[in-house]
Amino acid sequence: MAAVIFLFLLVVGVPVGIILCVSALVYIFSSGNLLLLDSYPLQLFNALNNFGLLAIPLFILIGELMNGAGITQRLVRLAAAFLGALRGGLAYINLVANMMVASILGSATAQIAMMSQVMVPEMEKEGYRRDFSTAVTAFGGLLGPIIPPSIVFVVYAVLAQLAVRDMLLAGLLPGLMLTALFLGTIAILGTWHNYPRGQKLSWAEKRAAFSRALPMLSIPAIIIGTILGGFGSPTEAAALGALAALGIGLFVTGTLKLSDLPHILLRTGINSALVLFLVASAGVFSWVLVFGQVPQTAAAWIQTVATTPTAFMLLVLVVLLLVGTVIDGIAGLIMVVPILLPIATEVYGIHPVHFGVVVSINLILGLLSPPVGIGLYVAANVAKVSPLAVFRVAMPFFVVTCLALLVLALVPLISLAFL
Amino acid sequence: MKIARAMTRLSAAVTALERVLLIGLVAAIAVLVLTNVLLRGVGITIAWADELAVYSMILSGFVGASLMLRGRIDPAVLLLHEFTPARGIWLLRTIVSIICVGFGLTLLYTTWRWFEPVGLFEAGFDIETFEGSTFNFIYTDVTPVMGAPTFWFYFVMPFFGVTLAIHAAANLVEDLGWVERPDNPAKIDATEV
Repeated sequence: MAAVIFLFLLVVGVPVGIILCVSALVYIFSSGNLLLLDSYPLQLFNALNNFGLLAIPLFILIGELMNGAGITQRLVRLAAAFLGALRGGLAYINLVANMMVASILGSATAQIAMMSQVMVPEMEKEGYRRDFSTAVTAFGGLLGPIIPPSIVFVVYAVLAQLAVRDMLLAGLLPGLMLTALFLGTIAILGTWHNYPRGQKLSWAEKRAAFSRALPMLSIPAIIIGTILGGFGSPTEAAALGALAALGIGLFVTGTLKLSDLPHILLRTGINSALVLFLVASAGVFSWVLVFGQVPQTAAAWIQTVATTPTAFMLLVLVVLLLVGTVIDGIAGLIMVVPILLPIATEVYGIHPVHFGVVVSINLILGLLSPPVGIGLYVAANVAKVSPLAVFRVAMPFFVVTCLALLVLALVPLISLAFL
Repeated sequence: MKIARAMTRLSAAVTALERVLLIGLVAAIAVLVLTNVLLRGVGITIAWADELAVYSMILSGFVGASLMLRGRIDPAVLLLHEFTPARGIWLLRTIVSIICVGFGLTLLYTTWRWFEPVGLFEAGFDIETFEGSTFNFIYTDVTPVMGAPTFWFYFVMPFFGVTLAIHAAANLVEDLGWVERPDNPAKIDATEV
């Protein structure tokens, strides 16, 4: 009954958070155990009562502050200073700038929106096709939630009751690996399609670009340094990062005014609420899943299909690639983690951090897979090009990401290197 | 039609309040966490600051979620909407709004059961008598660090139920064509994360 209503609500387009809340209510009413209603609002409330979650509004605040601080242009110029002379130079610049922005922002869609505005017109001007430029920017944006900071990883850590620090650091190597694979893809495509070379800059110009980008690079240094060096929690690192972003915007770039702050805080509040309400609804949803013994039932079924941890991981990869075409990112994560995580850890003995990296990246990839892929639509919308055309051109990057996922699924060490 | 217009006006007033609340709560989160981090650098720890920051975040989550519903920017699977003609989309949106009104009211009902105002009234507002007869300890629960009564923070849940129902009802009367929907009624913009 609850499952049928769940699917109905999903199809008609009810917000995902409300679907989970309503499904939980339907389960309670259909089970006849109305006493559960007494603690229903408390479950919703307490799902957010977690210090680790505080990193989310603070990471988002950094992004919002930096958005008005001329971050993108300076990082692009820095990447251009060192990579511009290569064949397909601007495509490399796009990716490397995306990697640097990813170490400041924690969200793919925010990053794709920001980078598409700058990179697509720039690449088009240099003779690149618009759909290709959009595809590179969109896949570059995927690095946003993988390289720390990452909002998706914070949400997973809270859902899985793991240390946020462990999850954030787990994304470091996979993020660098993906960047290297994307760079390799561009190298092959660049030679194949004979992409243009950019201009070579003098050392003086390179130094100038570096010194202009240096303040921006202090933010990832603060965030990753604080977490990696054990000087503070990810939440505290995020607060320090936000302070640095505010200082840069006000005093270094001068692009931020104190009068902008209310709007920035409001946008931060809305974007955080988008995630927080999903986490709260996931809390109440997994609470009734336990009462309904859904993970146990799912585990029994999955064990008939996948007998080994490897087979289970491969099954998860395929299922989530399909799920990701319709429900992606954090919304997808909060739906599947309460069911799949207990099976992964308790039945197959998979490390929860390793599982989190694979599942999160899989669902992040869903942001760029049609028919529903918010990241794809954001990029296509900014660049004014068809989303399907972008996806077609982005196929090599999609295949490379799938291969990377396969490697990540089969080699836990890449995700667990910093534990 | 008068009721419909009153509903959208009420929703606009709630929106204005929620926007101010949200700005204040996010500012509180940043200031509290930052103050604690910086003071810890000089050897002073304010334990209650982190706790208050967490509660501010919880409140901001529900206040923002309510605003999101009015602005229709919460994540949803809109695949069917993309392949449905205009009249069908109207129907789908109406169904969604009705479900959201229903959820808001049901949430309000669950908070009514949780706060048990009738039981409290029957106990003559004597908490000990109330707890003895209901085994409901909501009014004596305190936060671990500040020792503040938690029910003050829990009030965000009935508030959320009410505002959600109001915004969903405003969306509904606009979907039904009784009142014209203004551009961006929640006056918010967001990038999905």
